[in-house]
Amino acid sequence: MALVSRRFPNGVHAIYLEPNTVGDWRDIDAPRNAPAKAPEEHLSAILAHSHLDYLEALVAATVTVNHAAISAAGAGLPDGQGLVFQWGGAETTHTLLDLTSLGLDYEPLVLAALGENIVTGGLPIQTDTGGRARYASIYATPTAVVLWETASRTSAPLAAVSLDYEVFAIRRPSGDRNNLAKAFDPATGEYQFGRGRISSLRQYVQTAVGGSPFFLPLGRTIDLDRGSPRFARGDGTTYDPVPAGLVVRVEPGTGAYGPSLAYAGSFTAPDAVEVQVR
Amino acid sequence: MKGMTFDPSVPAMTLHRGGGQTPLVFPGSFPGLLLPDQVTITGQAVAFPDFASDTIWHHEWRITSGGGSFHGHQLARVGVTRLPGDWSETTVLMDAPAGTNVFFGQVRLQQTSAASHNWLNNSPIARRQPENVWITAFGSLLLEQHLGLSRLMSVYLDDDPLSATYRKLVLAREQSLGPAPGGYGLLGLGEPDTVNHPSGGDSQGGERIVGTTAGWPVYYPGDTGAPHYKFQLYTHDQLHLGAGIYQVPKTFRKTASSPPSIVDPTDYSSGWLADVRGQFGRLNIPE
Repeated sequence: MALVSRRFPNGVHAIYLEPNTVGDWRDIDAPRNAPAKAPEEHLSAILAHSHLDYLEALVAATVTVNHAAISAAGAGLPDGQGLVFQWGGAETTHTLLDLTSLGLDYEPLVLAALGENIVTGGLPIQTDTGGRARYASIYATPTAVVLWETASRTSAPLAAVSLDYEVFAIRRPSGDRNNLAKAFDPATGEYQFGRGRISSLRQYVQTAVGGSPFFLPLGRTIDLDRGSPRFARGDGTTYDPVPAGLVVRVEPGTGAYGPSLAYAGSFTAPDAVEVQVR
Repeated sequence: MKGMTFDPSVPAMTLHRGGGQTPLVFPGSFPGLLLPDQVTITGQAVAFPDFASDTIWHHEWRITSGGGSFHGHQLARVGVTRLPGDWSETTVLMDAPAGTNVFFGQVRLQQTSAASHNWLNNSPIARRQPENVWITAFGSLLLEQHLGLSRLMSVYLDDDPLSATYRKLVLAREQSLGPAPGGYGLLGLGEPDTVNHPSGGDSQGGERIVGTTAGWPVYYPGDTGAPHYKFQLYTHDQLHLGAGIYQVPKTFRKTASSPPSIVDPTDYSSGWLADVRGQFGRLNIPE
């Protein structure tokens, strides 16, 4: 199949794999041009189409966050736990990007990559022995990109850590920006496609060979077993914070402890796609 | 040279800007594609049921020496428990358009109802996500946690051909309560009919037993009296049977004629509302 770039009189401009060579290449109704005529039915064959939207980065920046140390937890249930392990108690937020200057009236989709993984709803961003860990979610307001963190704590503190995040705020698609199917400015070298929907001077979420991608997970990223979670990251790794030694007995403590509360399931990381913003 | 060349093998367009400037290669890869339609789902209920419940029965007796005389007491209290187990449910939000393999979405959460009582008579079940803000949603979000208990939700495009919700945008809920604590059974000297009580010191015993199935003791009412709490003092003469032999009072045991009872006032279900918005799209993988 040939990869072609075609512009049609009805305003459609598309770059796509021809499914066959049937019909006149200039005729959008020809079978060979089906991806151009009905892109929503041929997405796997399309590189770009003037009627689709794209994940354009409004802002892209590398941000260093200095996460403070987290103090050790208290004794938990008095004499009721085989060791000290507690959820939460260290919630805080970090402003990753100030979006005020952009004058947005919406909350953009935001992506924050920590190494090869994006921050999802509770990504373990720092782990230590015994289940001490720090977890993050990310959200946006019209004026800021914010990282929200919480923790699991043990009888020892979790050290402070500085982490670098690649942060992207994604523009809400606004459709056509001009009436030009394609345009090239020799002075700047800018190439625009599909009435301004794509510009060579702007950055987009893309799949590519090489580079420094991060993983977007395509399914569930947390599973529960024995009351405890297993976290799965886009890079395929998993993390079980609850240690095997977390056992409980009825308070006040006498008699044998019950079984371990550590995760004992078989969940594995979902499929993920490597993407970059460039 | 100025102009543009197209190389389908990359695929890429190279923009030659002339004047010794570095050519620009665009895009050099596959940009993520989005279908133009914005998806907005408002007020989606995210409810978690209460766990199955049972009771825990605590019985205690003591014979105490003090001030040259003996006395004793018996007490019993009933608490409520929650039983281990996992639960999950998947809600179909909508069909995923053909050819899409990802939902680029955000979720805004608000807890509308929380558990009625502290967990384990200790503290509230903690919320694990910020509320009323648009969270980037790829995969799962932990919502609530405490010792032995977790609740989460997931929003994703189900692309598993073996799944009952294949090619659907789904909101899945899960909760899990871990295995019951240990420590049930006899306490101290247990529940003998009589005890050889030493001169000086105390003798004590009792039991902690299940209603039917061992569970997590999540709530005890305060020791405020009937019906869930009973207490009785005994004089030396009421317990003394003979030289060094004392009757162990057990009329408040679960198997006895007048044990305490309890009406469970607790409800550990919880409710959230989720707003979901975003666009379906496709990420094509370069070969």
